Amino acid sequence: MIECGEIREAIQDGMDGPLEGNRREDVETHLRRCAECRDYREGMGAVRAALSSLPEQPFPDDALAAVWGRTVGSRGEERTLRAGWRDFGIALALAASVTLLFLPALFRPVRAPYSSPEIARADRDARRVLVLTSLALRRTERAALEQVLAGEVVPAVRRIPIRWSPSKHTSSRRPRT
Amino acid sequence: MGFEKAVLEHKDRVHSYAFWMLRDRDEARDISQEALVRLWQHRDRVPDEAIRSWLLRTTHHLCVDRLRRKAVRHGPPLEDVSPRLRDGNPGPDSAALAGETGRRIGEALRALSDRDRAIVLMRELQGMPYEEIAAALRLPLGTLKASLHRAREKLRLELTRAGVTP
Repeated sequence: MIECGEIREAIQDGMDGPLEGNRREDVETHLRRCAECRDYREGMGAVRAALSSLPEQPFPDDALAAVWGRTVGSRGEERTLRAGWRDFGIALALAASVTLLFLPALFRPVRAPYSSPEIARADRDARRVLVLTSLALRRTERAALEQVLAGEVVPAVRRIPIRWSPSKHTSSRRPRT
Repeated sequence: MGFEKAVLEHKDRVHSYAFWMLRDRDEARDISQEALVRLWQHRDRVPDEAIRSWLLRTTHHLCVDRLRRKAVRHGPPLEDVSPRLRDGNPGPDSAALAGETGRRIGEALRALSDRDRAIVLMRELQGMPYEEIAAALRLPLGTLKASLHRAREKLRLELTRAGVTP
């Protein structure tokens, strides 16, 4: 004969999934003649019903917003920061390239003063090159380029005659005297 | 599954679990936030099919840490137990009754050990299968099953004593 303890274990197992054929029949047979185990089964059903009646506790909206702020929101900030540094690096590289482009001209001996038209043309050409360069840059890059150029490069550029042509874009040949 | 989708799917589950473990709304909110943020930090290492058990395990450990640090001696005020019923504007008697019943069930749950309460909540409130609970709490299946049966027995006695069940 199956004891009550075994039946009660089977009752609990039956709460979590179907019992196999023989075991189920054993439980049903036992319950027909055991009032205490019938009470036990009823009590277990009431426990389950009571627990399932517990109200769900929705996660508050402001707490959810705080989670987004600490997770996907911070990812956006990280991305922006990284992009900012990348842009700044590109800008510095471009500025360095422009500087290197004109640097050799700074060390060439000036054999004769330039005429006013030559200076004006060089100034115009240099500005066109800078405008084209800056148009190719983003705002942050342009700001960085302007920072670099605000130092020593601009006065030097003004002294260099540049024969700009669309095919070559930049040229720093000295003018014929 | 993306992080955002996982959060939306599991946030209430995590919060309910923390609330019924701690029965403190503010702490449940803090712990739920922390668990969800930790999911973000470990998102590359948690496979989609394990997100629920990972979240509940993390929430469980945070709850247990919190319980150890601070002895929770009293439940929340009566009205805190059934916010959904209050929001749904039931009659005052039914809200009070549901609140009182919820309070008594909460008291009965508190009579269980932290581990047994966790098992009961995962099984009965979250509907998790044995295997997932065992994975979440890192328990052998046999231990889990024995603990669940013992916890239900104790709850039956407590709820009968409290007049919630016959």
